[in-house]
Amino acid sequence: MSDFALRIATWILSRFVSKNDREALIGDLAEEYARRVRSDSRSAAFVWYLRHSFTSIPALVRVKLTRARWPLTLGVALLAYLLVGVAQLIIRWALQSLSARSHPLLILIILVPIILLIAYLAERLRRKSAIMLGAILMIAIAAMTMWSSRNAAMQYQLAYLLVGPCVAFFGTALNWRNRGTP
Amino acid sequence: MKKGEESLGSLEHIVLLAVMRLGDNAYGITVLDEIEVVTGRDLSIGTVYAALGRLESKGYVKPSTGEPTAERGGRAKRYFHVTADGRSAVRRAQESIMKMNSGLKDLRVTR
Repeated sequence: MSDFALRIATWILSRFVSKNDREALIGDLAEEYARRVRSDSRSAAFVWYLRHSFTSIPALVRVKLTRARWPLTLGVALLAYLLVGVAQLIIRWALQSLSARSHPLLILIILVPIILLIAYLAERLRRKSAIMLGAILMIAIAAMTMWSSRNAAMQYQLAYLLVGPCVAFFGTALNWRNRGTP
Repeated sequence: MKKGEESLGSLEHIVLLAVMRLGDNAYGITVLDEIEVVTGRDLSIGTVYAALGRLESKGYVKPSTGEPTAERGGRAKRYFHVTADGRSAVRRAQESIMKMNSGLKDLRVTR
């Protein structure tokens, strides 16, 4: 039972330790546990191990948060999403000024290379931002499809839902092919 | 502020002194033990690693990997060595404390 509890504690702790420190920190705990089993008792060593596993988590979370780079990636992805939105508005406005009919399929066709270019540039600027852009597009389009009062044809909504994120992911793949997978 | 000239937090100061005291045997658990034995402070191993990580990013300690042992479940130790910048940072911190202490009769250590 105690071995199982130690494995669980180690697994939980390892979720919070940076890759750099993981092996050393868990090795240190194992070494000290073995020493305390020899010098004190198994139960005292067990308590020591659990106490250090769990009291370490707040400090390690703080380290992870301060080292995190995702806010910048999210910023680039949101900027890219804004650019996609602006591009869509311009295309819609340009097509409407040419004819009174709405052209959702044409807008989508014109938008595909633009999303691809924006995703490619975002990925060049910040790794993984195009994947984040794809996820944002997926969430935004799904939300708009569910809550929009306008009744666009279902096939166009589905096309937007699939094509936008797919193109963004393709932009990521294109970038990785050119620069090498991270 | 340039790297190598950043100030030391109080915990970083203590951890850096522990690494200096331990010499070639400074790694997570020995640093934790040294601090506990010398100061009586009961820190968690995560707190020590967090401080060592900050010291590493400031350029005050340099890590090196030791050999894995069976007792550690085949995991390698991560030794820490104080750099020249680290020694200068400790010296600066000590000087500041000495200057602030000077003239304060109440703080004289009595044995």
